[in-house]
Amino acid sequence: MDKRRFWMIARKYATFVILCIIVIVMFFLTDRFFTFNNLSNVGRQISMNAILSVGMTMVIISGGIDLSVGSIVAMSSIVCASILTSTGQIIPAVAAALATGLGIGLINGILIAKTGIAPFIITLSSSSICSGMVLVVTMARPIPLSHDGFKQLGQGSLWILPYPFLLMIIIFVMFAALMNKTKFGRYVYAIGGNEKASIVAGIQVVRIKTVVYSLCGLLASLTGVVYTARLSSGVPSIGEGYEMQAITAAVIGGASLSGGRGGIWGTLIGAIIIGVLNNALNLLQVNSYYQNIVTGIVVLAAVLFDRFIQTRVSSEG
Amino acid sequence: MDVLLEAEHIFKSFMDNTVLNDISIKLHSGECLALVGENGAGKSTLMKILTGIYRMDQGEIRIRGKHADIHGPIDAQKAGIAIIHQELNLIPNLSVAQNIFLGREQVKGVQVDDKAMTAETSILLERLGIRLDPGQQVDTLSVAEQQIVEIVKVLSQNADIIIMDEPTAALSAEETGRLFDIMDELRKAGKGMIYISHRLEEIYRVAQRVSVLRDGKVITECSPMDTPVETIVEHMVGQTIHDYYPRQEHEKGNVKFQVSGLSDDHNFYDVDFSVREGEVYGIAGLVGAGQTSLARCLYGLDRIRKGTIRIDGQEVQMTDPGSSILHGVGLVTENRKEEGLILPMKIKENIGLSPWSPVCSFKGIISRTKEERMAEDSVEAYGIRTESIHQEVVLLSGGNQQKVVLAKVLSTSPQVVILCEPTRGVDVNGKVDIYNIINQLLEQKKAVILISSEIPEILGMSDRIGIMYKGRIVKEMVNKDVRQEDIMVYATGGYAHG
Repeated sequence: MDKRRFWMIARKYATFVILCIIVIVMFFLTDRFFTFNNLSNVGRQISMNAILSVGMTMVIISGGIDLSVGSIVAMSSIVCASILTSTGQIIPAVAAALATGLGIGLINGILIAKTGIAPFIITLSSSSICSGMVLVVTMARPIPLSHDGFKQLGQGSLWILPYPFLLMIIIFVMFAALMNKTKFGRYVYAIGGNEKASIVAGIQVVRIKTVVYSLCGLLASLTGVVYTARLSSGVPSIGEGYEMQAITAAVIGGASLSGGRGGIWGTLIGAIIIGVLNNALNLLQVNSYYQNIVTGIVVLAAVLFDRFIQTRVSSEG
Repeated sequence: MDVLLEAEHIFKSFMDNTVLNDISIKLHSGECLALVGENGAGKSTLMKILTGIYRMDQGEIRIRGKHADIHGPIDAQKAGIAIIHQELNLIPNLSVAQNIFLGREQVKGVQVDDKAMTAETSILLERLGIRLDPGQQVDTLSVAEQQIVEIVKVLSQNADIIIMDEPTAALSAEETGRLFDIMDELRKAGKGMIYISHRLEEIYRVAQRVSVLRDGKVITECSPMDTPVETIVEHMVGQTIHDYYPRQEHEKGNVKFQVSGLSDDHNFYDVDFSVREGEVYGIAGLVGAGQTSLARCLYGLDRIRKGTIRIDGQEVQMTDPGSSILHGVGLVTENRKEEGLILPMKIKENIGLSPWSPVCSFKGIISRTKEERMAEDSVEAYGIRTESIHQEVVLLSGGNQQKVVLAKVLSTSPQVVILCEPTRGVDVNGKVDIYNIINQLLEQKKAVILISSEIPEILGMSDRIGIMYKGRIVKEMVNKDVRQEDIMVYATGGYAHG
């Protein structure tokens, strides 16, 4: 019995321990890791993938997947940049970008929840449609921006905290509360854990799923806005492959693609691990092509470790 | 007649539980042997031993007089034993011929030779007098036709001994007739068949001999020709133990729940019954007699086509589970792992799952105190044995899982509680706990509908009993001096022969 408890605790904190190990190793390998500039840079990089991963985590917990988030990032970046260029006003530009993400997420959600077609297929199609539309409208040309106030959103900081990092913290606190403290969050877990039983319990499964995909779209467009501000331009090619990074962060953080398991805080650690690892490899002047290999190994290790513990937890019950 | 199969002195136990206790059966060529018995009598265990899925502890199996070692499904296949399950094992998107030759395709070089297989299938079908197109895709066939494909498949593997486990459960009367005709043909061709069915009237049509199993033993072997259905039923049921059921008498109140003329035009028809406050209405019937569909409709999971449901005399519409919960109806589904529990979630989270369970102190935000107090109260009230309410339900025993499901349903304070097979897969102690929960419900003046295929349970807990057969309540009786046999006769359609 005690052994089982040990493994359960091990599972809970494993990713955190791994993160600590990476950080400690970096401390000894290079003196450039713990510099203000580097950490603030890592903070900015992580925050965008992390915000994107929050939505993805909710979708994965509900038992689905969303492959369209990368394209939503690109589309909202373009919408934001073009409206900012024509009006010069931040609020309508950001609002339009967020509405774009929310809208696409809503369509994804309705299609998935009402038709029962696999989320993989629905979001694969919407991803393709969105990225195609972006290319058609922009002819693949970026939209440069020269709005200083907007630029601050991505590049400025409050005291020592970069704005994107602050935004990330706010999003995580909000969504962790939503997922852990509210009935809505409970239902997302329930639907991913057992959809039939959720229906029998009287949960409005269609409505909850629709909201989950809408929120995922909304967070993707928020990520797009932050990217746009950081790069100070709307970039059509941005967001390619981001959905995979988001899935990676969620999975390292303990989310199970069969649904019902995972957590917002785990995903945060997952996103930080990816960010810190990439940064570490850069600092150690490892060829950037190796980064993919390392990320792949980390995911595999995380999943194998989880399976290892799973057998320990259940077999000794 | 040659002896095809002899199984002698077979013993099998799981842990300390003896399931087969010195069973012997014999099957001749050109014969159909019916195997009957209540749930848990040992029929399916015996069949699993014959087909190599389980290993027997003791005993001998002989095929055509020769000793046979059956250690796995492949050995069984080599020995010429094949089984046709109630659930079909065909690949829906392949053709009849492709299914029949699945896993041993004929090839021309490296290419699969569909033409040759189709031709051979045609010959097989013709020999059996079956009109089916070998090239037709299987999912376009009716269930009965698929069953026939399944039979042809095992015949093409040169099976001489064909076991059929409830093959007619999903068939219409006409399709059943066709299946029986084919079985007659097979008998003439010298094949032997073991036929398992709960529908006794079918046995009179197809079987030449009947073996009655009870508690892992062959109680009797007889010919259906000169054995009345009542005798078979008596053998199946045996003696009953009554004090196992802690039923208490409760004062009955007004009629709480009433249905009339209920039908979904498919699984059940013209169902009428009513339940009073503090009363248990038991619905007995064999698996697949329509009880499950009825329960789903009463709870709004499926839609009814005709008829009305009244609660306290007011007509209500059950459009979805939410509306039925609001009308005060709760359902414990028959399969707790599929439809009852969220397995990876904790006990407290499962108990407070319903949108109407009072675990929030502020709109939509779960109050930990309320949730945990409710879970603790339920653990106490329903006797859920667990270390803590934070444990994941996947780690609980069947009986405790079932109590969590009950706690979840009761958390919304339903006035009408529908229980489907509430003690399936639950050990004896757990069963008694669950019956005590039913008593608690009656004390609280709730109306209980108990649906069960275990007749002793129905007899032990109900005030009145409705017996379903093929989608209809064919008999309603007050539970006074009712014997298991009386119910069994109606539940098996035996009254038609009575």
